Amino acid sequence: MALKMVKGSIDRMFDKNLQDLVRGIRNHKEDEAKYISQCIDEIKQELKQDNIAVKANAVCKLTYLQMLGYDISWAAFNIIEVMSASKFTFKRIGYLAASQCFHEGTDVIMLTTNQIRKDLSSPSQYDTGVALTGLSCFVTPDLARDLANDIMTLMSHTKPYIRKKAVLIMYKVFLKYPESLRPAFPRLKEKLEDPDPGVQSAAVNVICELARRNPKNYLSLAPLFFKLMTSSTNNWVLIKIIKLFGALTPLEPRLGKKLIEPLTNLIHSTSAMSLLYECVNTVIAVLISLSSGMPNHSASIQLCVQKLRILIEDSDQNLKYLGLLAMSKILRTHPKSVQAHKDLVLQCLDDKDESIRLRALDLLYGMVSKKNLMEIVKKLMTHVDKAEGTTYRDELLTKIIDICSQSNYQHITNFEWYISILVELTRLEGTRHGHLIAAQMLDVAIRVKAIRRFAVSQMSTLLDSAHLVASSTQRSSICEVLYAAAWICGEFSEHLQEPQQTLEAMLRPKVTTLPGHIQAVYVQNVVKLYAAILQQKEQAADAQAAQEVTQLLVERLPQFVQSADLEAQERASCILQLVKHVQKLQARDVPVAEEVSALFAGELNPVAPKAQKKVPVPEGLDLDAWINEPLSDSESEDEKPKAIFHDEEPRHAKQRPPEADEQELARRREARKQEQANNPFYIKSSPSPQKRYQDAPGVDHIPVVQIDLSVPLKVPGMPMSDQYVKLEEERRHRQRLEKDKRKRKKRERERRGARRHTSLHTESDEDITPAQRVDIVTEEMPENALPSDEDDKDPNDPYRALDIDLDKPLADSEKLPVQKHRDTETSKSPERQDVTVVEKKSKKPKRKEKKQKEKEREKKKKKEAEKGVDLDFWLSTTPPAATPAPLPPGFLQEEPGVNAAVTAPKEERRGEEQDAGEDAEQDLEKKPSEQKKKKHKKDKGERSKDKKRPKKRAPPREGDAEPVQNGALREEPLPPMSSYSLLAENSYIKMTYDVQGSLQKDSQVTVSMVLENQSSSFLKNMELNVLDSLNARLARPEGSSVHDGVPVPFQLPPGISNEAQFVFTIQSIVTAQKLKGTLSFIAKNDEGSTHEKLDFKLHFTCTSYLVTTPCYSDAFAKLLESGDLSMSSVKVDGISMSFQNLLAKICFHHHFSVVERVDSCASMYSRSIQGHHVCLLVKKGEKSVSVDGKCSDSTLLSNVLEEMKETLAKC
Amino acid sequence: MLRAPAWSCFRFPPRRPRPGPALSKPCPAAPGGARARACAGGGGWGRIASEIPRRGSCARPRPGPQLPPGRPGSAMIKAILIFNNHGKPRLSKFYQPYSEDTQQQIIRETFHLVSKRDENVCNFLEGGLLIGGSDNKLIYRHYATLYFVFCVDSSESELGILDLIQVFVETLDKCFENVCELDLIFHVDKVHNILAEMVMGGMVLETNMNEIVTQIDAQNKLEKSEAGLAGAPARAVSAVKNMNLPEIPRNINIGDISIKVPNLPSFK
Repeated sequence: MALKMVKGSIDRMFDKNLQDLVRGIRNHKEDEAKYISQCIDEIKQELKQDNIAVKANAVCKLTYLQMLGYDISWAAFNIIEVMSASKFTFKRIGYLAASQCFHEGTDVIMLTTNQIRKDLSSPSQYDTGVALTGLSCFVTPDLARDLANDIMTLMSHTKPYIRKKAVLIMYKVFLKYPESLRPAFPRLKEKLEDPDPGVQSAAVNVICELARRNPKNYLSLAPLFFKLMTSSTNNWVLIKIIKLFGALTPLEPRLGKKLIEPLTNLIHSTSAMSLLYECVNTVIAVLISLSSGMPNHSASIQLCVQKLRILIEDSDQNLKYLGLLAMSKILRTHPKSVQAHKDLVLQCLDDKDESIRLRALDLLYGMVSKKNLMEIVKKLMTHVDKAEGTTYRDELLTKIIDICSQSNYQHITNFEWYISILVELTRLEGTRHGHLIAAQMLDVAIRVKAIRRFAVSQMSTLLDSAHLVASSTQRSSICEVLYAAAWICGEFSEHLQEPQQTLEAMLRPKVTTLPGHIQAVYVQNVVKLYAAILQQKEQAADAQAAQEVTQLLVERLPQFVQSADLEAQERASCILQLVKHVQKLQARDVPVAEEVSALFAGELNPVAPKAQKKVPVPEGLDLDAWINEPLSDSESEDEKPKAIFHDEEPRHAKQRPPEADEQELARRREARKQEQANNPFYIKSSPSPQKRYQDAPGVDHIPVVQIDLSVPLKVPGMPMSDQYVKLEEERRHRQRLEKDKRKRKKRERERRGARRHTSLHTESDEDITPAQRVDIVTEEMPENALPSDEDDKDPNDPYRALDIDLDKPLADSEKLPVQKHRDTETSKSPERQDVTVVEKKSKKPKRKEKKQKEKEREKKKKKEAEKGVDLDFWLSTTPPAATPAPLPPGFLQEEPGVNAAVTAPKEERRGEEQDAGEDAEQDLEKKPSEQKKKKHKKDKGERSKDKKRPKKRAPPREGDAEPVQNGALREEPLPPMSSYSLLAENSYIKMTYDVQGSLQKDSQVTVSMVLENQSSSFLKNMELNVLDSLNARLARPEGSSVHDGVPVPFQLPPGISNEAQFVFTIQSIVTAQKLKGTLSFIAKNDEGSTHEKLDFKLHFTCTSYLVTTPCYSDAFAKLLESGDLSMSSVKVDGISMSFQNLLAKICFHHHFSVVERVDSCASMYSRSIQGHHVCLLVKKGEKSVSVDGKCSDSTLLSNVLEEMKETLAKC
Repeated sequence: MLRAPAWSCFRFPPRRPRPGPALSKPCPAAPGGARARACAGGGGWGRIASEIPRRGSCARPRPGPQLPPGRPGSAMIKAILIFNNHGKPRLSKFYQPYSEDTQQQIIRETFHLVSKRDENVCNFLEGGLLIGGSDNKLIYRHYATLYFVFCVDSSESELGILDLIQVFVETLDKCFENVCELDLIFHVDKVHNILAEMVMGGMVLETNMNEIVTQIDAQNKLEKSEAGLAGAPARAVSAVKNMNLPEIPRNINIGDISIKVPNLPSFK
């Protein structure tokens, strides 16, 4: 056997391998194509052999040829053969080739399903890995559907290497098979807290990408991400999360408020430029979403702008580029703060790097004012002349137009200047934006009445020199401006100086070389001109001249009749007949001018681009109703694929039975939209750039100043805008002088004697009066237009399908398809072997099924409501501005610089309590410290009456979401709870604390300590020290000895409380322990300051090492079955509390989560920071509760149970 | 203690090396031995040469769904391209389906855009018309004779990708021991394998170089063990073939690749 293999390999060692192929190609530079064709022949021979190694070698070579541009899809089947090789070496080659050349259209791809499934479940992690990698490149809807379940199981694989790949590929699966999103989501969410940083990062990656497309469905994850953001040190993850928050904040402004502080901290602290940049970006997004309601957000803006300036001034071009990019985002909402850096932007405009110049151009948009517009545009015009690449020049052109036309031509004081700029721009060769210039010309000429005379004269010059423009027609679209010129000259022909000359220019034979639509406009406007001339001549009683004009038309129009363009041809022949008729009339000396001009009587008004859309649907008209009886369903189904335009049916159309009318209608609507989208004759609402036409109220009221131009401006072919700049300067100077004079006179009159010089004259924007009356006609809208402004989303968006509500509980029908064996028996017996995780989860115990189901439904409803409440609750931790809570004395003394965090603990509680009855609120007002204690111990009796909604107290910062969720089973109101317990107290200060662990750090716990100043002194220099034990030690800053204390990072004014966090390192977590410690501080009041200290004993319970971890019932069952767990149990008598509340209490105080609950019996799960599993079975009897526990460590279990006993005894 | 990923510390100005002497001259022609073999094997073939689709010749239109430019694709990294100073592709990985012709066009267009830029300008480019629309950016780095270009959409952090490229090149350097263009030319499959450990389906999979190298090493070991006895003669032949290679100028000259220890604490 071995001998045979050796022999085989000797045979093939003289086959060409990849290296030989590459070498060969390099040696055949002259006849490369021929050489490669030979090689492909060889490869084809090799593929025919049985030896898999030879095949793999051939496929490997093909992959290389694919890169060179050769189609290798003909070898698809062979690639699949190599993929199914048993050896990893060959498998990898096969999958690589597949990932390079397979796509949805590859027909053999459906043969791979089983092979891939086999590889996915292979015992070798690299086989699985290579299959996942390959699949990620060519996954199709079918593959996604068939393999979704397999991949989902891999998400809980033991190897992080597989887990991270499985998590990542889920995104592709979701895209191709959106139905998988909901079943898979809980597990995906779980992976956000995976112990492996790579898996965690992958999960963040996927969820961020999902959330970026449909942010609103992921708002409920905000608390979790917030926690990750504050705890993660992985920059890649941080960047993703921060980017995600940028997408979420527009939907939930309260989130923004919560984010600002940690983000600003990050900005200050991080050294990684990428992170800094993303933070700034998100802060900007937050500020945009807030835009109002934040008192001190100008500080944040300043910080951002300041940081960005540093970036822009950096010598590194990349930072400069990004700085400008971010700056342009600020510009949209806070133009003022950016304007301060105008110098910088103008400087970047001269940068040698095109990317940077482009970004600077974007910013320029916000930099212009009436004062500097001309200057800036002049600068840009010189850039236009210098620019070599057409892309950059085109960009310049659009920017010039953008800048000038922004907010209804707000900054233009002299429209003659603007028209001449536009005319100058027409001399650009090879620009793609001719239509843009044309649109501007038309817009200005129509909407600024005062400019029409000037515009017409310029346009006639342009028409006259049309050959210049039209000569370079080939690639450019600049001849579009002739369209505008012709129209303007025709429409406003009354302003023309020499209409006859223009008419002749428009009738030149050269015109027929222009594009058809321009010719059509020419023809139409020739008649307008003609009408005007007739009128003129007849008034002058110059019949001879009138007839000559008619003759000219009759002679020249036939050239348009022969035009290739249908529109031009039709108009021309129509008009030709008309003119011939006029000629006849003229011959009989009948005055015709009146009638001909009547053709064009009345003025055309501009219509808003969205006017058509805004026409309201008349009452009683249902556009979706059938005009005739709808055809029977089967027929319509058959007809649907209108094969001419598209043969792709809207997805799921067939799967969904036509059950509800609503659904059916929606489906049809969808189908019609699709059809329309594919129908070339259906006019779609193009996503036109929305100009904001806001009324510029100031402009209309500015007094009109007539200006006499001293220089004749009609020199064709000369750049004239410069002259305007000079003229404008002079004009402004004159104005200023006049104004000054007036002012001075006034002042002199007012206060004689006391003279003051106004040598320093600052000119503000408002001082500049525009040269023309800018009477901008607003565009017309239909009567009672609909105010709605929403734009339809692109129906083809592939991410639309993923717009799925993830908070809704899973329905039974939502399972991932599972591969089933084709057993005849399976149809009879319930499918047991293949039940998926999801199925199991949603499966209910057989007995009392109905009742259970109902309960479940109720539970789900509650859970849903709960979710909403959760988020609100989390977000409202900072006080809503609208409801001013009564402040404790001393609270108001707080200086504004102290940020939200200082007030947080107190205010959070306030937020939670808002519905806890007003009496409580008043209590709190009187003596806040007492209140806290009260709540802690006895609260049930006196509160249970006024509660409509379940609630409880959660630790203020982290981990607040989980316990609330766990309480979802509650049927009756639950007393408020706090996990904070009293640490120590004296007349100065009160300390409460809570211990939290995190799954990410297996030997660390965080102690959150709330310090409350109970005295009237100012407490400062607080320092906390703890006597370390062998097992537990305080994490001190680097370089300090074990005897040094850790400073508390804040000071406490009287009456204020704040929270500090300390990290402790724990070796063994199986036993509880106490640490002695001291808090020392300086208390300062009017009499002086004293050193004080307070001793305390920090109690680390075993519970505090547990972290709430959700667990599926199937995993739970497996865990119990595994037999690695030791068992122990306790029983507590005399418990009157309802089971509901009991569970909630365990969940909350001992960090457990409910796995399953059946009547008065529940299984619960938690996990220690070092990975011990703790499983509980809680049973409630008449007056007692028994708790059975299983845990991987017996000591830990008995300790936890002891602690639990104590808690329960209090019930 | 894991080393923190390279991108967590951005040293600026970035390590943009001058073209070293190693690859400033065109790559040496393959040795005579290989040429002789290639020619000898060439006789008698070419029978069905007419069937073979040529580069640039009219390829059949693909039945697959071609994403029109501008429409959002499914990947965040749309494509990864490596080509040399003359535009010769050394690696192309597209995370969206394109026909071979379009792929070549994209490579050409990208090369055209990137190659005309100076050395001291920023590493970001907009305006690739074929691949993606306005949402997309080209982020590239130039090392000696090679351009590494990533085409990404707006969900990726620009600086992050820039450092990902650096990680990629450093990983190549580790796996090939002083990587040079020739390594990429002759071992494009290996480069693909390395890339697959970093980016999967257009999403960043791993940014920690040590982790990547570990996985690659493990896979290589697996490969070697699979070849076993049967692989020995093949290895010998390949060694003989490679002996003919002249003193390959090693070293792609990626410049100073020592990474400054970041200020941020790393995992665990």
